[in-house]
Amino acid sequence: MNAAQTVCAVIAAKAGRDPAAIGPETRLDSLGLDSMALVEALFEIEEACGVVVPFNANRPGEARIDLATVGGIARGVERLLAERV
Amino acid sequence: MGRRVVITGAGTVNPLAHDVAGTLAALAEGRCAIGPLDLPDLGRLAIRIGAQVRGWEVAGRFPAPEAALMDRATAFAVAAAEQAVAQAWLRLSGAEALRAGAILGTAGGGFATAEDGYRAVFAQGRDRVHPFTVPRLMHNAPVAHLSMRFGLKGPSFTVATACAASNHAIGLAAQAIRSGAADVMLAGGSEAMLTFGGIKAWEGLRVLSPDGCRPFCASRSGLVLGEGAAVFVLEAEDRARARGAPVLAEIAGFGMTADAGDIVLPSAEGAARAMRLALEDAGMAPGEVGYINAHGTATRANDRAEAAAIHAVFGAQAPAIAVSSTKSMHGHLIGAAGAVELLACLMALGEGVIAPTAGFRAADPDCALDVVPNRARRAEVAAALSNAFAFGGLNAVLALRRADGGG
Repeated sequence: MNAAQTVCAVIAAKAGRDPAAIGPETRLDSLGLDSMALVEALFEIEEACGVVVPFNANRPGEARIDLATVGGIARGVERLLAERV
Repeated sequence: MGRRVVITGAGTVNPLAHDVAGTLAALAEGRCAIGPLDLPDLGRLAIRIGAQVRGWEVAGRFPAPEAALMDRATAFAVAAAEQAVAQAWLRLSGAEALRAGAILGTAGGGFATAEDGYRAVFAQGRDRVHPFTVPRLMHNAPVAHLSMRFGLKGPSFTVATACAASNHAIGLAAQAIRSGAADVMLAGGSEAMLTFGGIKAWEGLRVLSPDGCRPFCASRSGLVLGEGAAVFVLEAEDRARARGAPVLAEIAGFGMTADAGDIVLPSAEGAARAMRLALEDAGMAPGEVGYINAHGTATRANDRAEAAAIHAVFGAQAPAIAVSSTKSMHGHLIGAAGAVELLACLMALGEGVIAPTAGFRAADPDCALDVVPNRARRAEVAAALSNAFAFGGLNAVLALRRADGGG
């Protein structure tokens, strides 16, 4: 499973949806996921992908990742993976 | 309305100082005790700052047989209570002891003791833990040690309402005296969660600041954990006056509410209701309040909600009230927060010095309050509120009056 598929799978599971029904443009808020669900989803994505997303709930704008959409998170994780090498 | 309740003694061990005088001096100077953490395995932590109590070890403070039974949280509480009892010149006859008790708040209890046990069996593969693990880690251990040490035989228990635990403890102790269930109570809180596991757990929520605690500031980046304790002697005013005890302030009112909302996000409505209830309970007009010690954790969510709540309660007067968060200096002591912060209220009421919100850089339009930025201020304060709003939406607000009644 690549990073985009992992992000999609984690978020789909969190929202109780079929991963096939979720695309890069899908917004987390449209899935009913709030900030607590985001914190938990990021944890699972970090564990699965072996990266650390620099996200502080008090400074969401500083995460350097678009956390609003599934594709935004996937691109951010891919960039973190690339930077890690 | 029952009897009036006054504070006749105060004691503390916290990151700013190991006693009340030192703490008040630090608060008046705006001195910050937040800095790099000194902990084993620091390299495995993402957050490496905190407000530790430095130069204070349980082993050096108590004889070995006593220290063996004390978690750091208990030792903080006992040391703080000894100071408070000494200041109050508290002496209890056999009959009086039956009507004296203790209520303390804590969130983590004997956190380090539990962690040591887990490390021994899970990380080190050992098959046994220290034989006193249970009596050291139980949340009621600090209160039990106060009861034993000072011979308190009346109502005694521990309150665990996270960040509001101390205010709940102090408020309940005051109610016990008011109602006639007790005449003298020790009350306050203690916390010692600055351990590897404690910080690890908080890291997970992504609300800790990597660089400092700046409540109500546009640049705020989250809370910073602290540790320590504060304990107060509360007694019925007539008893205190009759024996000529020093009266530091009156606990005039107490308000407690629950948000019935979110497990972590605070509600301005629940906070405002708690402040209103405290004012009503004290028979205090909003216009009397000259200082509010804010919960002010420096999280985005708390500070916005708290500012909105203060505006809701005080209306047009809100911008004129001095509101400061001393967490900017001593960090967030979680279950001990309200107790240590009560010291800032005693300083405002007793010495006319309002502690600042330290580290303040730039105003946040969502927190339009006079936060007493960076420098303490002289002011005559006749009445004060102390706010505490816990995770889980459990709120506790104390209303205080100056020892002379503010007249």
